[in-house]
Formats: sequence, structure tokens, C-alpha cells
Amino acid sequence: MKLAVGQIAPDFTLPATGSRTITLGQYRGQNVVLVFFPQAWTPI
Amino acid sequence: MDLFEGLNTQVLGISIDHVPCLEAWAESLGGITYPLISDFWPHGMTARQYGVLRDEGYSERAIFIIDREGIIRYIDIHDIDEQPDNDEVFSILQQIDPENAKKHPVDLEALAAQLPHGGIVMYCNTWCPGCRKARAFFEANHLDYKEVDISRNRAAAAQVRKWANGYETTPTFDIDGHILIDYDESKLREILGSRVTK
Repeated sequence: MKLAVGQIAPDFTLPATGSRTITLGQYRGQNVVLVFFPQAWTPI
Repeated sequence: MDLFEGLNTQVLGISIDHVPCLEAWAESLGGITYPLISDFWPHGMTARQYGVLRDEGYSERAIFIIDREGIIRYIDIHDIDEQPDNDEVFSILQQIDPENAKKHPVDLEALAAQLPHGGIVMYCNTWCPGCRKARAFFEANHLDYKEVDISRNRAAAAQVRKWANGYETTPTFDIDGHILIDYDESKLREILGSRVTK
């Protein structure tokens, strides 16, 4: 399923660098630039 | 990507790699200031939810801009080898958050440093007739050129204004450092010399 502009971004909770756990919802009130990249060691 | 700090914006990188791999990569790049998120398990689930998981098991190269209410405002899924256009992302952020953008003016000089140099660079936009003539001229002569669309790249627009007495004249050419404002075939021939064959 493809997402479209105007839809609510699906939330996620995942581990991240710096021993963090990131939940998208924690950034409510800020803009988020979510950058998907294929694999580490490729330019971001 | 660090350029977005100050625009009330959090940058998040995400891939299907596991965390130790992302840590090692971040370190090899001299430390990335924003979090890199591991979409490793369940494998690629978030990429799948965003519609960018490829059959090979990793994601497309894609940018989603999500506003402060959690609504998607911009989606760019680009060629896997192509770099994202920072300036375009910037423009979108400014549109969706104009108040904040005023407080944090864009560092155009930093963006201008990313503009292409060397060879034939044409600053253009999609509608200008002179740009169409120039494209035809370059193609007829089998000359390679790069195009920068100033309607999509504000650093480029600022650069053109600097060269063209405050006007956003298109096309404007940067040919190995020679600046030519507007389409003028005879001047182009003069600058390009023997590279013009027709």
C-alpha cells in the first residue's frame, strides 16, 4: 500500500543509534524529515 | 541534512540494518547528529507500511516530511543512486512552517556551495523559451550540460540574482566560470569555441 500526502504518518517504535528507542509520535509539535535509505554504507 | 536543524525539524534516518551496523556506519562518517533507526525486526515493517520496501528486502531511497500534527506533507521516492535534493526539502519545510522559517533564515551560502561547477551549467526553469533553445543547441552539438531549475532551488535563484543584477534571468550559463546571462547563440559560440561543431 502506498501512502499519500495528507495521510497520517504510520507510527513506529524502533531501536536506534545511541541506545535510543525512537517513536515517531514523540516528535509531535515538530516537523520530521524521515529519510529511508537502502543500507548502511550507502550515501544517506 | 544537518542543515535542517533550527527549522523546528527532526531528521531521522531509517534502514533495515541492525543497530550495531548503523552505529559503525555513523562512526565511520564522523558521527551523524540525528538518530539512525533500525527497521531490522520485524524486517522492514516500517518501510512496508510506508510503501517503500523493495522486493530485495531493503527500502527505496525516500524522503517523507511529516508536519507537527503527524500528517505527511511531502513524499519523494527517488532513484536509488540519486542524492536527495536538500534545497527542495528545505522549501517544503518553509512552506509548512513559515513562522519558524522566518526565525531561522536559510544559509544560502552553504547551499550555494553545493551547486555544480565546471563544464556547462545552465540555470533554467521549466517554462522559459530561451532554455528550450539552449537545450536544442547543446543537443545538436552533442555537448554535455547540467541543468539547475531555479524555481526548485533557492540557492541557485540567489546565485543567478547575484550575477544578473538582481534579476532571475533564465537561462543563465556558468561555462567553466564564464557567466553568460540570457540565451545568446553568438556569445555561446564565442565562449564554447571549437566545442561547437554545428
